[in-house]
Order: sequence, then structure tokens, then C-alpha cells
Amino acid sequence: MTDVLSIEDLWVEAGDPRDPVTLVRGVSLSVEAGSVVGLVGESGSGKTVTCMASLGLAGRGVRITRGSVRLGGTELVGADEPTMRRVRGGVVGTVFQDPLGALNPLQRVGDQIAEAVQLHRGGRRRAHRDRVVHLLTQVGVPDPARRARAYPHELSGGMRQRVAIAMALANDPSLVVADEPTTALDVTVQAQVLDVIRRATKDDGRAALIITHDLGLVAEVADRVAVMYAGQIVEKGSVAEVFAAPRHPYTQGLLASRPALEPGRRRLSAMGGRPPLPGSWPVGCAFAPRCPVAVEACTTPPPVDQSDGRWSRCWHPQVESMEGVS
Amino acid sequence: MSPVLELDAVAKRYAVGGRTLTAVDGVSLRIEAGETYALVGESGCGKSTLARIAAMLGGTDEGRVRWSGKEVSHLGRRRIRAERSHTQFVFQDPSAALSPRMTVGEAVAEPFTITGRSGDVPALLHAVGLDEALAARYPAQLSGGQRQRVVIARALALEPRLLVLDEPVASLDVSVQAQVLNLLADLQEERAISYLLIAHDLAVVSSVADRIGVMYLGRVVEEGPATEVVARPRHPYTQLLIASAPRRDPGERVERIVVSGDPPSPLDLPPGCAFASRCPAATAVCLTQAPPPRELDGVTVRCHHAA
Amino acid sequence: MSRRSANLSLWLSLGTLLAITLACFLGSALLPDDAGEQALSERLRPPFWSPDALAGSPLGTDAFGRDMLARTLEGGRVSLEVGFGAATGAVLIGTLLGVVAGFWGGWLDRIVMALADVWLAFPFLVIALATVAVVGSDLPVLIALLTLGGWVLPTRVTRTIAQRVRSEDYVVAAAGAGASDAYLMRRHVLPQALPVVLVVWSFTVGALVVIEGALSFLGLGVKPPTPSWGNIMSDGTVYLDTAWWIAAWPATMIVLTVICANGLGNGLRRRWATPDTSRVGEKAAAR
Repeated sequence: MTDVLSIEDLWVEAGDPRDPVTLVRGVSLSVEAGSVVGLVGESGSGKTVTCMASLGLAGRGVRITRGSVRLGGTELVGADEPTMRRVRGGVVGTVFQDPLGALNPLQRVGDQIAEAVQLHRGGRRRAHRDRVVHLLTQVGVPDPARRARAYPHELSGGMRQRVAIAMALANDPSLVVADEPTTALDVTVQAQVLDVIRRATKDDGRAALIITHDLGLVAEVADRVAVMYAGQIVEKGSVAEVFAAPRHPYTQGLLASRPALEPGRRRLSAMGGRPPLPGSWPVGCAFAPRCPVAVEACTTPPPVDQSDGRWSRCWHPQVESMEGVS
Repeated sequence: MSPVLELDAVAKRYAVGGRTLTAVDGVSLRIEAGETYALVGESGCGKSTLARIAAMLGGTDEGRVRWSGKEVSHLGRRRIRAERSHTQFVFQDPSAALSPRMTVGEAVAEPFTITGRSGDVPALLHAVGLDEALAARYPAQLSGGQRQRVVIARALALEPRLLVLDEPVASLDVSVQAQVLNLLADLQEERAISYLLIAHDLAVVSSVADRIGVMYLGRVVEEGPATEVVARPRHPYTQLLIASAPRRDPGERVERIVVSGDPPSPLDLPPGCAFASRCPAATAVCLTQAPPPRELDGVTVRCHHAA
Repeated sequence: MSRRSANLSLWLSLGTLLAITLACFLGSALLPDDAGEQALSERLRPPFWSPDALAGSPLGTDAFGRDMLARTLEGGRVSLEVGFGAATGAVLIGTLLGVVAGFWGGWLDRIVMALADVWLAFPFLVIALATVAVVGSDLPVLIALLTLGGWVLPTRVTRTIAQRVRSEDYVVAAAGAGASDAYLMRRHVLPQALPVVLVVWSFTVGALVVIEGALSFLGLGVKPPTPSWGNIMSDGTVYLDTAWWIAAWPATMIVLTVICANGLGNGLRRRWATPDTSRVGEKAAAR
């Protein structure tokens, strides 16, 4: 399978260039065509920055200092603005957490989708009416011709997010990037919207990168998962493997601290401490201060362990094998 | 002994452009000492309005609120102030719940300043697992989890019998949520305090609640012991909520319930069951008659077809 | 504007305003006793750079031979008393009304806001003229009058803040712990309003010094022989082509004071940049 998106050793920093704060350090991540990758992390882990910086959307003051981002063969790091514009909304469609913020309140949703089509395909907006109806049907909006004439505030949260997804799909992108696409939605609606995302990506052979704090969402739609902590990926692999047997203590802790939906009051397995913020990352393994199995070696940067076809950034398997030798 | 909190057919309506929006529609519930009662439901179901009514932070239009047997819903503004230490409120967003101009110490001591009582701020900080050195810091210097601990410490200052917790962990990082939930459980054990927990996450609720009430459009449609409600949901809406919860593991098989249709507008509630428009089991009677509460194995359900 | 230059303009404005104030209030005491006395033999002497200048009167003399330096400082004292006094009065009244109206809402709020609208609809100078015609223009009357001229802005601004703060979760929490409304207003609303009130005060000082000047210039303000920047300027207009300096000194002082008051207001606004303070800037600019 070919990689639609391939991020190699990405470093991102922000703030005063003389005294920068590192936000992302050496992230490598690829998304194959037709697969959904979940990028998981807590606040300050750098998951959103990784993605926004890759697409040149991170805003002023945020700089890529090293690395490469290739999207369908085009290098995006250092690319000029016309290239980035062609990529955004063309090759990549984006969906954000708050659909209300992503839609213009004063414009009918159909016109907004038509405009997204027009931006990349030209022509008159009215000429794209059929495409708008087709897109709305694709994301499961009932009675699409009528809903296209609605204003965003006339739609429910779930419908708005469907419209936002339709806009992301407007130009048949090869990659869909979604940042917390269901966080703002109600539980019963979340499942439906996830279903729409799954159909619009995996089932149509598109690649998707979903950024989230919610492991349940990853279990629901993703094929592969990358877990970020303090600006680095600490573990990545297939969702089935990582969920069944997490290698990194942070992944283990995250998975264990999720309460299960089952009868009976019980004590939760809680991780100690809290995620560190950019600028105050511990030296060595950033997770060591919270890690239940930290050893002395953890004060130095951990190597990547790739035994058994897995990938995790932890001293542990090595430490044990060295002890076994001595 | 009388229950710590008793709501008796409380209702709250708002006038919206000449029409009436019914946020809470005749809800009755009781919470015993040391018990955690969880109200679950989706946005707009009225659970937050009900939480504010229970803490007497927003008035009721109908019904009564009793705190440990004493009716407080009819008290005037001045007289209710003397009763306030009975029930304290913990907000969803701890950064909004703390004044940016007060240090942690000042915030936790504020209930003492207000009531003129004396209290031990360092002990309160310890109780919620914070170092007393944090007392000199401002909220902006703390993490979200620490801020929520400060809010809980402040709520405990007046030694309330009941804490109303409005989505207390929804805004926290995943790895911090479990810490705060465990802290709440510990505090409950130490202080025999009761909780009214407002939440949308059924997994969270199932792990901490003794009783669960499920709200839909201003009404409690199912209520009972948490184990019963989670293990054998009887109302189709509760079944939908449980079936919609994200799976824990990728391999897990989940029976999804497909619903169509939108919930009716709270401005224009139908005469029958409010869930009928989305309910897969709805029949003619559901559209015309509001289902009365029915008692099934200790669970109260408002559904014509529950069995 | 960069942060550094914004800070510079803040300190420069504050420093100049302080210097003007000190000079006006202390300066007249430091000058010789007879500095402001009439000396008809020394009428209309030019400032120090002219060969005709009178020793001891560096800013020249007026039509009665009075020293312009002494007159300007003495007039400034009166003008600033009116400006500071009325701005302080306006801000005090406005803050009280605004906080209470915004916090309690309801009928009180509606009355206060209706009053503010009606007040702004009247041309203030006409009201001032009528009042002065009826009750005269003693200093206290002028201060009271200008206080009424400036109460609307602080009222509106603090009302908005009170409305917002009242519904903040931490205020609800304090109310939930049994706090009285008086406590909530004093402990939570006022501290939030204070920076904004100071900003409004600065802008109001600038505006009221101009209005006082205008009133006195029209002969409706401070009456001679008590000098004020406005009436000195008014006297000076007669001699604009022969002794322009008589009008120029007080005019310069008014302009300088207004620039500094606005510079102070803008500087404080940037320093305490919050949505509330930036809105004040817009409102003050809109006036």
C-alpha cells in the first residue's frame, strides 16, 4: 500500500526564536491509503500541533525546524502558499471539533459546500448543486436538497458535523484529517458521526488521520494508532495489537484508567501525576516521573524498541534483557 | 432520617419568544446520606438546570426542594443564605470556577470569609491531595486537575452534606479523570457525604454511582439502582445510550441501535412519550399518552412497553 | 505599537500629567506673592525670547500686566480641579450605578439605562448654559455640572462588567456559600471593574478639561478674576494679533493635558489588556 501522508522526523517549535519552546520532537508517522490512523494524546502532547504544522495551519509563531511532510508525493515543508492552498481542501479535507465554528453562520450550508467545490474546481456555484446534494447524501443527511438551504443554526449538532464532513469531502480528497470530530457531540450522535467518518474514509479507500484524546473513538474507527506524550510518539502500531497488549507504560496506564461501562461501583486504576506542558518536559523519558516501572536508565532518552514487529519508545525491554545477560 | 436531598415534582420553564421552554418537567428524586446519585442524559435534557435547582442556585417554578428534611425552595434570598452550607456545587470547568484574582488559599478560604466561620485551609488542601505550598499560587499556575481539586476543597470548606457535581471530570485529561473520581470516592467514604453527579459519560457513571436517573427532555425516564440500570436498561432511551457508548476494545462486538428522527423541540413537546419520535419500539399509544411511571424490580420506568 | 513603545508612552503621559498637576498646584505657591498682581505699566510684554521681555515674566504678561506664568499655573489649578474633581465624581457615581444596575438587573437596570440614553440625547452644552444662567457658575456648581456630563460612560462600562462577572462560576460559587450581594459586588465585581474604571477616569479627565475650557471660553464657566485655562484663552482672543501668547499658553496646556490623559488611558488599557478595557477604548474613541 502507498502512503498518502508521510511525516518524517518532524520537529516543531514556537515562541521567541531566541528562546523557543519545543512542541513536537521527532515525530514520524505515515498514513496508508484506505486506512484510518488515530493520533492519541492528552493536552500539551503535541498531537494537534503535529497535524496543524504539517498542513501549514499552525498559525504564526509556530515553526517546523526539521523534518519532512510528504503528501501524495508533494513535500509540504517549505512549500509555497499556492501549493499549500491547493493541498488544503483539495488533497486534504479537514474536520474540526466544533462544527459551528467551522461554518459561516450567515450562509446557507449548501452554498458553503458549493463554495468549497468552486474554490478548487472553478465554475459557478450553482453548477455544483448536484455535487452538494450528492455530498450531503454521502454523509447521511436526510432530505439533502432541503437541508442544503438551511443555515447552520437551524441544524442539530450532529447534522452540522455531517455538513462539515461533506465540506471536507467536497473535492474528493485522498486524506481526511479530523481533530476531535465527535468531542462536541452527544453520545448517541457520536456513534452516528463516527459511522459517517468510517464510511467516508475507509470504505471509500481514503486515508484518514484522526486526532483525539478518546481511546474509545480510536477503538471504534482506527486501524492503526500512535500515542503521543510530551511531543513524541511513545508507541505506535495496529489498533488490535496496541489495545490487546500495550507496550509502553503510558499506553498501559491510559487504557487502564478508562472506566468500563459495567455494573457496580469500583475503584478506578488511576495514573499518578499529570501530563507535562511544553517547556517543562522532564529530561530522559518524559513519562518517567509518572511511570510505575521507572528505573535509573529512564533519566536518559529511551531508545525505540522494535522487537516483535512492535514500536515503542521505552527502556524497558532493553533494561530487562541487559539484566538477563549480566 | 430524612433524605439529604429531596426533590418533589420540581419544574422549571423559560419564556422564549412568547413560547414556553420546559427545561425540567416534574422531577422527583431523593438522595440518602452517603449515596451517589447520577443523572445522565444528553445536552439540553435539563440535567444541569436540575443540578442548579438542587443546589438552590436557580429557582423552581413548581415543586419543592428539601435539604435534610427542611424545605428550602420557599425561603427568601436572605433566609436561604443561612442554609447554604448544606449543599455545595462543583462546576464543570474549574478554570471558570476560580477567580483569576484570588490565590488558591484565598479561594479555599472564601467560604469562611463569607460565613465568618473558622476553618483550616491547609487541611482542606491536604484532603484533596494538594500540597499546602500551592495556597500562594494563582489558578493560572495550576493544571486542570489541580484546579478541580481546589474547587472541590472550596466546596468542602463548609462541611456540606451534599455536593452537586456538574460534569466534574469532563474537562480534564483522560489520565487525570480517574484520579479525581477516586478522590471523590475517598472523600465520600471519609465524610459520609452525598453526591448528585451530573454526567454524560455512562462509563464514568457506572463506576461511581449507587443510583442512576436517566433524563430525556426534562423528565427522568428511568431511575433505579445503578447496577440494575446498567445491567438491564428497561427504557429504550437508556438502551440507546448504553449501546451508543464507544467500545473499549477494537475487537468488542457492540449491538448498535439505529435510531432515526430528531428529538422533538423542547418548545413543542408532544402529548405522548417524548422519545416516541426516535423510539424503535414506539406504537400508537406512545404518540398519544404520556407514559406514567411504572415500578419494575425497584426500577422506575416511564415507558408503556418496558417489561 | 510595540510593547516597549506603549510602555514608554504610558510613563511619558503619566509623568507629564503629574508634572503639570504639581506645577499648577504647587507652582503658584512657589512664585513670588505678587506674581499675579496687576502692573498696568508692564502690559502685554512678550515672552522671554523677545528683546522686550520683562525679567521675571518668562511667558510674558497679559493686558493688565499680570505675569502669564503665574496666570497659566493658577488657571491650570482651577481647570484641573474641575477636570479631576468632575472626572472622579463621574466615575464614582457611574461605577456605583453601573455595578448595581448590572448586578441586579431588572427594573433598576432599565431605569438607569433609560436615564443614560435620555441624558445622551440632550445637548450637554445647552443644559450647562441653562444651569449656569440659573444658579451661577461657582466652582462647586461647575464640578457638579461636569460630573453629570461624564457619568454615562463609566456607568455603561461597569454595568457590562457587572453583568458578566455576576454569572461567572466563581461568583455563583460564592453566592452558593452564602455570600450577600454586597459581598459579591465588593469582592468580585469591583476588583474586576477597577482597572477599567481607571482607564475611563483618564479619558474622562481629558474630555472634561476640554469641556471646562469650552464653557469658560464662552463665559459660562469660571468667572474672572479667578483664572482658568478657558477664560484666559477667552481674554487672549482679543489680543491675538498683538499678544498671541496670552491665548497660546493656556491652549497649549489644554492640548498637552488632553494628550497626556488620553495617553495614560490608552497605556493603562494596553497594560491591562482585557476585553473590557479594549471596549472602553472603542467607546471613548467613538465619543
